[in-house]
Amino acid sequence: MMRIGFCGYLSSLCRRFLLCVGLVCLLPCPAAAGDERPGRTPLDGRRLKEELSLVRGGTADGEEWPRTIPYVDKQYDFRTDTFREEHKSWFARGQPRRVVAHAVGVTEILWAVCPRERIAAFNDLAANPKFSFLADEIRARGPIFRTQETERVLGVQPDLVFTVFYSSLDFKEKLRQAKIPFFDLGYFGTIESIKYQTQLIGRLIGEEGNAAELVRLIEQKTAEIRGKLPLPPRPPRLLYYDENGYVPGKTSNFTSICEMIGAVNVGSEQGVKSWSQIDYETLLKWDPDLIVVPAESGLRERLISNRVVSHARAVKEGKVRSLPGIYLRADSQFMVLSANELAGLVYGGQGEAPPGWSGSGEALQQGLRPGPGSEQTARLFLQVARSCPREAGLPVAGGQGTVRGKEGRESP
Amino acid sequence: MKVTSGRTYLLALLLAGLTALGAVLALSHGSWDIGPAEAAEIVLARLGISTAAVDPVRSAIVWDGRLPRTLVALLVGFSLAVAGTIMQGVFKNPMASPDVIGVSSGAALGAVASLYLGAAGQSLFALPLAAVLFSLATLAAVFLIATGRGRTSVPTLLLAGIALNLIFGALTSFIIAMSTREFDAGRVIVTWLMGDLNDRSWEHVLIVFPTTALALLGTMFFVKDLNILMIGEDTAANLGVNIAWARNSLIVFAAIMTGGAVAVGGVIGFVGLLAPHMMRALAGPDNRRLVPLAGLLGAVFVIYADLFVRLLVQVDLKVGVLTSMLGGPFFLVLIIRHRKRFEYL
Repeated sequence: MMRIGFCGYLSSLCRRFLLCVGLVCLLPCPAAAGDERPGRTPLDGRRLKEELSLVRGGTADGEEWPRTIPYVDKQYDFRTDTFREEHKSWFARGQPRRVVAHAVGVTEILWAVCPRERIAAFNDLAANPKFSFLADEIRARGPIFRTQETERVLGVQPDLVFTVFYSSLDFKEKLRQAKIPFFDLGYFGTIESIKYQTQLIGRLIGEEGNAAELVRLIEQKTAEIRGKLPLPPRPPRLLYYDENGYVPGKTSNFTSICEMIGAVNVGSEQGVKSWSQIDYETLLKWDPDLIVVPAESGLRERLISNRVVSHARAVKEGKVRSLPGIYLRADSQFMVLSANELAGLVYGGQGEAPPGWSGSGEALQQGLRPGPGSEQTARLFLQVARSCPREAGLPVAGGQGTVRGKEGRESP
Repeated sequence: MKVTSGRTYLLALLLAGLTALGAVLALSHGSWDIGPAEAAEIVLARLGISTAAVDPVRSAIVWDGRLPRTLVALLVGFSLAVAGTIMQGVFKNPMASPDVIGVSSGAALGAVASLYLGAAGQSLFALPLAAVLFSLATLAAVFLIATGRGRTSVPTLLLAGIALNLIFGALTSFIIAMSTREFDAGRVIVTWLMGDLNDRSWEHVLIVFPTTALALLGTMFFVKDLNILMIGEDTAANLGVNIAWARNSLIVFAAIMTGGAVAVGGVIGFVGLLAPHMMRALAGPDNRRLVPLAGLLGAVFVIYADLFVRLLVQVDLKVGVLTSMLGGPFFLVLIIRHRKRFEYL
């Protein structure tokens, strides 16, 4: 009798508990505390984005088609932390008329330099506002294919597909079988490499003039931003810290963004190569001037209230700032936009803006959903998660374009 | 195998010593150069035992950083090992572990869901709460499935556990697959699933300590019944043991400990399987000795694993990965060398 009573009671208790769990799961997550007011930036973010989204530099001044395009294929191997450079050349029979990019950064460059009607399809990440500065425009234009939807790519009959190191071998093999030429682009981790890739893309699609104009604009806007920055006695030391305690190092986009605004990436300074996880104790030891965290992650509040990190100078001086992850992932001309926003966080703060500053915080106005890490980390994660082997340095051939020759060297 | 009280005390002393040594090492290792003497001074000062003046920053590092992490490692290891001991005893199955009835995979699903939905970023308690709730919900579901006409069937309980393990495993994989498109969430989830004790705070201690303490007290209350249950249910019934009450209570305690441990430490494998086996070979099958000793061994295992992970900071090794990497081969060796010893189970 007692046994039946216990089990019956237990059974009833279980049902009630499951009901409670169900109700708890249905409750919405609380919104992030929006305690950061929009900051000031050296340049107006919205206008800067518009300027970087469309450039026209006159007619192409390249040689006639068919053409052979020599280039340096620079790839970063995160396993060995080495860069590998190979001198190659690409043979193109004619100007590509239907171009597809397999990566967000390349899409953003194409959007600026290539006549839009020649972009045949867009990767869905390029239509995702968490990753792309042009999400709205791309969603409105379409068509959009998912990363693994090779058939949709084949369906638009492109005559040139831009792939990157995390594009899967299967994807490339299907392109090869369909005799669609694809070009493997290399490293995009610094503004210099982005400028190089922009010019290369320009030559590949026969829009050298536009590409040169975009590079000129990148340099001009970077100089404008730098010209408006105050001159601190020493470069400010910035640390980007994500929800998992990871900090970007030497080869990350963050280092390049910091350099663009005369700041130092503390991760790089402390010898972090790609990305590394550090604990609060180490963060306190490194003691940055400013800590940047992914916006809306709740990490800012957690850092401020943490009993160890609360002793850090940045926390004591109220210099823990949020920035949407999209700015930290930028690996296109929009890295200038990232530099503009970061300059706002570092030099503008929440108070009076330095003289001559015309912008307002694009990031905080947009309320873009944040996320830590960079495009490079994202690629690495995707690569590991999908067990997609790298194809760095493989000679690519097929369709109209062919890679010729190679002269490899490795540099640490 | 006859195990004397002297041997038990010796084992207890050895494990307690290893735990204390591990704790001292953990407290005196980090990026700040704080030695064992200074760490001890800080702890004593914060406890009000010493009046020595301590630097507030160094004090925060030891008291609010290193000490909670060490305590969480200790409690997680202890909980998983005790939960494993209970499961192996109750199910009379040497392969049983805390996750055999789906509790840890339920906790993992709850935690992963909270990470994916962003709740974990809003509150420090969201992830542990989700993990504990899901583990208890799993437990409730398993009991609901296995209970009919007022009786709980052990084989059905195990089968339901296996089925729920599969379902929750698939759902977790589904969330991981979705999160590969949300790179940041994906990375956080994968790290959590590998078991991570980085930056654990007093709040985490506050979560895992009550679950460990209460469930341990409850377990010790039923530990004699567990011994009798291992002989056989008929014998237990003849000796006046309320089988269903004792067995179900023990399973609930094991589930609570597992849920608490997974909630604060992520998925840390093999501790719940390995520690009871090792200790059973040394201290014998009497659960009155085995439960606390296996718990201590689990604590030692996780403390040293975490210390090792901290030493190899550049490698980004996770504590759950390390315990499985060490535990798996060690367990195989143990099985091969002591095949006959396991037969008494």
